Amino acid sequence: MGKLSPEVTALYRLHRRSLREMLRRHLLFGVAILLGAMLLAGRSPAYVFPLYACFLLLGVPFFAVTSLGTDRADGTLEFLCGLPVRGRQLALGRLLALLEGCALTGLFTAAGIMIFLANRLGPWPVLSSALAGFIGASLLMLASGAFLLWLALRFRPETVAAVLPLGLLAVVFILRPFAPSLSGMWSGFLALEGWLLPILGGVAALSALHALLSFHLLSRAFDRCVHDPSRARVSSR
Amino acid sequence: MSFQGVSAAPRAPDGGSGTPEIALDGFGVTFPTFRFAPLTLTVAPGDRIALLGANGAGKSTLMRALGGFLPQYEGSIQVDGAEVRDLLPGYRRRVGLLPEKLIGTPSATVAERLDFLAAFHPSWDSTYAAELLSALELSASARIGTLSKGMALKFSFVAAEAFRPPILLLDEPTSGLDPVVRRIFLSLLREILGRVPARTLLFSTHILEDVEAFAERVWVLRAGSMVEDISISRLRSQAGGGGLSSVLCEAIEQPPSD
Repeated sequence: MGKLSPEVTALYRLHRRSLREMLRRHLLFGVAILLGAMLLAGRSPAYVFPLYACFLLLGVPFFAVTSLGTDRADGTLEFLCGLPVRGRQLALGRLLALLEGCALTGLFTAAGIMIFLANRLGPWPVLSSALAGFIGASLLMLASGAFLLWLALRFRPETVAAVLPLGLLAVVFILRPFAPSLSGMWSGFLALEGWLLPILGGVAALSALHALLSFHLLSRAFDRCVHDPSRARVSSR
Repeated sequence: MSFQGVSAAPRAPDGGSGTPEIALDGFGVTFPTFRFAPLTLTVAPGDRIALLGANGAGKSTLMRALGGFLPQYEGSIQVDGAEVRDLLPGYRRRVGLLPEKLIGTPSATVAERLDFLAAFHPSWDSTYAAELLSALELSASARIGTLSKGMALKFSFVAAEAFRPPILLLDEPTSGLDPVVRRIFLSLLREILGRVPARTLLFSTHILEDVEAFAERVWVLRAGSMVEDISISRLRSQAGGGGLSSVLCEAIEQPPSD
């Protein structure tokens, strides 16, 4: 944490504590449940990697929202906004704490890619795809986390936590008739081969842009709370 | 009680020098159910002001405004000539606020919360904080969420004082303390203020003895209006040979002169 200011370091450590606890529980129960399901279904335990990556893709941004909701409910958010601190520092502290979850998602994604492509492609495309998968998934999580944090700060965290899964379900329901079968998707994925790396790179680049924009929005929202800490109260909404 | 640890002049790490002058010019606030009438006055460096008034008179509102915690107000609050809202968040490094209620990080211990706060105040003195904790007999391992009202007050005082801010704003600092701790607290505060006379103290209280002990000036608020701004020496001369309590009670109860 050499180059971080003492304020950001303190905020990062504070948020990391609660997020790490959530992540630990999620990892323990998520992996155990998936492993049990794979064994019961007679499938390879290796499926756990990509499946758990999918779990994390949904879980990690929600940890951020849940943590913000808890902080608002117990007064921590108002306390933090009353400190001599800038909105940018508050936003940075929260997003840095989210990085562990993002990196874990990236790791599971990379492991999933490596396991499934190992027998189909050469070592270099597998490694480079895994690396791109790691960076892409991590940045995607960071961008989603930052955007959801902004939504949760701008609106009610519980509204965001309730509306977003419903929105995702609605999208899945609407797109279902047009979506190919799982096996079709898988063969399509394998057919990409040469395109896999540019696609993952594109995801990473877009996610980085999204993360930057969300960070900017989040910083401004926190700045408003710093100028008026009562905005961070549950009752102020 | 002997208390060591208060060093010389307070520092102002945000670039400000020493204790600032605070000037309110037509300051007022309008909430849906409460209005603070326009107020013009100046708080000079080193002023010791007691804020009196019934519950809901506007004491905490005024204190929050002076601490830079109230963003929307009419008129102006100037600190050394600059509008307070333009000085945020750095101005908060010059103000130690003991709030009405302790909030946030309920699962953290007293020591953890103080360590956390240290990161935000370059002039934070951990040794001094430990000495204050010890003087107030507050356990560093107690959890914030489990502190009683009196313990929360003691903790809030340590958190407000450990970086030696030039301005101390104490919202009813002795209201939940038992007589013994109250005596220790008052003695500690007297010692702290005695060593650095330039520091400004503004405190609200319902305990008239505290006013006599610390204030040089008294502001009396009633229903969002300041009805009295009077020096203690003048109050004493008004009281004649009697105690200040009866004069103060009269000031709180009587209707505005205009």
